[in-house]
Amino acid sequence: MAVHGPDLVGRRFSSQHTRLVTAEAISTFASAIEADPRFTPPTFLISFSVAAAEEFLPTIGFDWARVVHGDQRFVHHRDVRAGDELSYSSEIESYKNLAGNEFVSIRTDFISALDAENISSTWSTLVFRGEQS
Amino acid sequence: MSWSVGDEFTEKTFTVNRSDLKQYADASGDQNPIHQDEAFAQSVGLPNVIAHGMYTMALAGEAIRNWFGSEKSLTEFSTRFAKPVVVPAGEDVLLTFTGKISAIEGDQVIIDVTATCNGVKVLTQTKARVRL
Repeated sequence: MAVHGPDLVGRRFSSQHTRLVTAEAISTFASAIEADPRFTPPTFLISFSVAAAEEFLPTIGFDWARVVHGDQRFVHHRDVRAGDELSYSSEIESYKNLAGNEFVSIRTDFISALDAENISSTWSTLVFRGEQS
Repeated sequence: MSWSVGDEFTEKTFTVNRSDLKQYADASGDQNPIHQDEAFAQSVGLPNVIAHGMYTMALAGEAIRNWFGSEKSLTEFSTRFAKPVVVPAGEDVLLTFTGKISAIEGDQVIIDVTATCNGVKVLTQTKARVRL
């Protein structure tokens, strides 16, 4: 396990490509949580933001097998809709090591690739559990 | 429908089993084996397979939309994952949500939600802002 420190704060990573939101992706997600497939669930964007973290954090030594979710927040300026093409970028906003457990808080901003409208922001704290816990 | 601060909502319960976790994993793309593979979960120090925290949060969001209407937008939604939801093989685990309006600001209602599994609070500080 690599040793990390507060110098991680401010590290940024981005999606390499824009992602198209399909009606199928929304209805598949909605069905998995017993929701009405006509409306985008408020947590839908998690699949994009966690995928970005899952790609990036292991490249700097975080063990994805030891991750659990600490907290989560969404702010939606408007609902995500089928047909939206999203680009997104993430920044590590805080890092703490408490008793061997590493707490990494990441903000991700979702921008419409069509008109640069800021659609949503998400904040995730991921906890990488130390070997003893 | 008009709402007042202090209004409480009828509790909403979901059953969660291993196949629900598989369906959520496929829909969300979160294929972390701690949510599907008991031997793997135990090998990294967990008691058993646990539900995705985001699955529990998604169900909390669904409880809220059940109370206000599926077409309503949650403009803000936040929670802390306090305790894992353990999902043993072959069992239906019950997740129960209650909600109470803590503030009303213009056309937006702020609701505090509790989430319990077997009497244990699995989410804390769960708040949503709903646009009416």
